[in-house]
Amino acid sequence: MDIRATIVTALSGVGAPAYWMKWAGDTNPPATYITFQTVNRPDLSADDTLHEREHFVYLDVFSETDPYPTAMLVRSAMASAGFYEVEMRDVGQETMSVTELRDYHIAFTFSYLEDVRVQVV
Amino acid sequence: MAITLSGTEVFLSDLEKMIPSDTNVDAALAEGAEVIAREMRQLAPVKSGKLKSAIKVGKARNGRNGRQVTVGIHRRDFSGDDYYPAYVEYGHGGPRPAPPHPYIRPAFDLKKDEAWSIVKQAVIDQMNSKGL
Repeated sequence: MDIRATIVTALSGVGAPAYWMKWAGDTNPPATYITFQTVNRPDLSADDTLHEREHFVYLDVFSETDPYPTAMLVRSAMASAGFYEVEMRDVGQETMSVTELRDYHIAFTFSYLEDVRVQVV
Repeated sequence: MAITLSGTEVFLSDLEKMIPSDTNVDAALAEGAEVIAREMRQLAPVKSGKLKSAIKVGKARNGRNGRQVTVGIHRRDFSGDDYYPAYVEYGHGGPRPAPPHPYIRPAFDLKKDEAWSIVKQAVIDQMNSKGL
């Protein structure tokens, strides 16, 4: 399973571009954009059989305006694709100065259980 | 920029009733938290090394649900005027955006189960050593 492709596909109808790891353009970033990163761990059963792999997705919505409407679309799109929302939070207000806070930012954590069923030798 | 492990999570039903009052829960919590701290250090990006070296397991204290420890970067332990660990974890926007480098949340997500197991085993080992 290509988790990155799954995420990009899930977010294709949100109306904001989604980038793995970071926005990497040369000019100013889009007014609203999404970045995401993932980690995963195997979930071994007692008989040493790999049944599932748990993916965690750290997804960030950056926007020059209130990102909440986009965040709601992200929430809905990810849920439809089978991702479980672990948390959602506003980021930055308490740690960044006004001059740094040009963009608003909402951060999500999602998890996804991939059914793999592989015998570990 | 730290997460909290609560001792209550350890005291699962029957086990809770079996734990003697003189059990050193704080040491067990710290042992479990260190697993998460190690993962944080592995994931933390390194430039000066300041961020990585600031990751610590805090002292156990009373919380709403019993004894608890925090693991991560504690504001009071971070020397220097610029407190940037949250910027690293979450990144920031702006004309020159910095991408997120999650190292706190993944460490917890990947190692929380192992941490709980270690905490529980540490408590069981203490009980065994007392012949219980």
